[in-house]
Amino acid sequence: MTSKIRIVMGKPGLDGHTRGIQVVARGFADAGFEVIYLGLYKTAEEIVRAALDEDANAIGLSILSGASPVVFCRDTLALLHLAGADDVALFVGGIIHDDEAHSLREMGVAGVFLPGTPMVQMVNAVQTEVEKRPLQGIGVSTVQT
Amino acid sequence: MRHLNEPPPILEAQRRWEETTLKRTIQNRPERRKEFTNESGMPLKRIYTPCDVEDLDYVSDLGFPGEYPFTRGTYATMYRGRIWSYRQIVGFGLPEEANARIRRFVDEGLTGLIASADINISFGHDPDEPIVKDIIGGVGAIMPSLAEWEIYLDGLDLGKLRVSLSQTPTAVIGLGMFIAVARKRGIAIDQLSGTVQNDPLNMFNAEPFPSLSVEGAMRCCMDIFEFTNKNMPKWHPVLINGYNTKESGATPLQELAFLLANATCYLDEAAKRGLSVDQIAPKFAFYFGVGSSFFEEIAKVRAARCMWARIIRDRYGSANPASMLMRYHVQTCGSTLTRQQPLNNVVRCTLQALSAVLGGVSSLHVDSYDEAFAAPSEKAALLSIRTQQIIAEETGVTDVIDPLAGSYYVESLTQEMMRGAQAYLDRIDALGGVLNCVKNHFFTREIAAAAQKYQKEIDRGERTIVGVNAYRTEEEDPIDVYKPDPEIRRQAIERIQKLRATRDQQRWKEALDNVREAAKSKDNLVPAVVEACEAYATFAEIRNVLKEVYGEYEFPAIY
Repeated sequence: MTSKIRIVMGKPGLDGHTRGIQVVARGFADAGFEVIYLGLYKTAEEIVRAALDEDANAIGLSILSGASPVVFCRDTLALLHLAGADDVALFVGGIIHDDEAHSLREMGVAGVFLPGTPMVQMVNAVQTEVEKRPLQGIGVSTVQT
Repeated sequence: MRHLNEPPPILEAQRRWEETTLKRTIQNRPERRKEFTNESGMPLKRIYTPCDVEDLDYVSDLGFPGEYPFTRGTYATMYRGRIWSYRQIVGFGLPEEANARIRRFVDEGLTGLIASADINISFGHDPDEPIVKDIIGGVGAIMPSLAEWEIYLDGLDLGKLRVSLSQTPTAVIGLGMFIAVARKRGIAIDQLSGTVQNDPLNMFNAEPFPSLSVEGAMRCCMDIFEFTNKNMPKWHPVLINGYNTKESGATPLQELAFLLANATCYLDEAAKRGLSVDQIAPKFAFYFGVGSSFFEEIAKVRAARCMWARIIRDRYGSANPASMLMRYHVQTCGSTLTRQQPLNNVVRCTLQALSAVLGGVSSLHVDSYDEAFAAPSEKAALLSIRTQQIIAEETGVTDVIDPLAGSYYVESLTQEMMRGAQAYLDRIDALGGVLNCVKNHFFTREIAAAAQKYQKEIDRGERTIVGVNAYRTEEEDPIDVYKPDPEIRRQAIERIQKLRATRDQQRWKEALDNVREAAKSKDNLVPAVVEACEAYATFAEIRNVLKEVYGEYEFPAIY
């Protein structure tokens, strides 16, 4: 990769637990990624729109409220697909049950990071995944708001 | 007689020890680290001696429990008179499920309850809204209306079981619901004892819940102060929250400083409403997190009690002991608990609970070992109560008040906590006060920086988390974890739709209009909100009316 990895990060839904995403965002920034941190209470539409607008290689979500990530990830992947942006890799971290983690990987989430995952492992996972995927250019935004 | 220039005997002896016995030992085996610091970044000496506390005056710095400066304890007899309250959060699933657990736990020894309502509802969404999807019942009990609150509190003796309402941004609604339940039971509100968290200042900085604008949030907060001061003499209108500050990454020192700062801001705002310190401060309650740094957490709460007493006396000019005493609740820190090897968490929670008790806590919630997975299972939650009972009844630590007092280390650390917290308070004043600091995101940035530092220490292996970055096991036995039954969502939707169809539409509409009018005027909001609860307006509906009038706070995207 000659250009910086661009990752849009945000917290979906009704979850105010910011500490996780804050430290991971810093970890990615320190590893040389371009981090676009959207903050809290984002919808799938808002996150995907930002990813498209920012030519992001990846999206990082954090869910620490106990809510299930499955529905949100499914919606996010669907919106990316609609916009022709399947090359954008989706990563999610937080309180995730083992069976949910399995479902997430099955549906195409590129990485699931459970509590205690070392930062270096997340950085490597994002780098490896992004290198695998060719950037297909700017996706036309068909995201409805 | 020792001459002025001669070193005191202890220092002499220490120097000799350092040059001989200590030096030999270190040559054989160096210490584990070049420098030892605690979580607040304070350097730790290898040993503390009377020289470290020679400036302490027992009477003015420590005194006796139950009176100024309260360093040694909130109450005169502490646990010899009464054990702290076993006060646990219970909130999950349908209200009857939560109620069944509360009732069972009352039989098992629970003496206090923290009522926790489903987060979606707290955020302004009724159970059947699309945004809620299937994420309901996992965090907080589903109680959107008075009907569910009645179920949640069914069969509980509200006079005996101390109830604390965990709502902050929606505190006025939580209080409204509780008052409505009491009225239905014929309990006069001036007889109601309990607490409502009602700490919006904390919410702007630490792991926030959606909030009204600063103006709106403070207005609701002060309305609660005013209303309870006039009508509910046994009620605590605020639980000043350090726990969420700590959980978002603050050091123990920051937690202490920011909590005290917020408390002074509430006193100042209350004064603008004509409420004096001696009217309001006696009803304050405080809420700390206790993490794993054992002695640091003990020093923190001793410092807190002393500082609060001095703030009331010196900054607010009151000598009223009821204003100066600091009663506080503790929750053991959930962020220290791991997903890996979850039974390790039992050990962590126990040590944290012991630390809280040795510090002199008034009421305690002990987290459950499945914290990193879900809301507590019944088995895990019961163990939290047993942990407290074992400490209280088997260890003897409750038989002597403030047992660690006089420890050269603990007293030295207590003083250092006070100095550090005072430095922060001075800085906050210099920055224009708490509300200015909220506006400029001072607290948010300080906390984020502390969180980053802590994480880096873990990433570099400088801070060990057993089972996570050291002593890992690859195979783990699964534990039973609470998972809300999908059926719960269907039932919740059915109930809310039935509620809307059967409530008195006219009464409901007028009640919400009255909330809106009250919010736009200077009338106290509480009566209008109670009336809306009694008209079966939902939490979300009432919240959305307030949001309409006051708007929502825009949280900065800072990391």
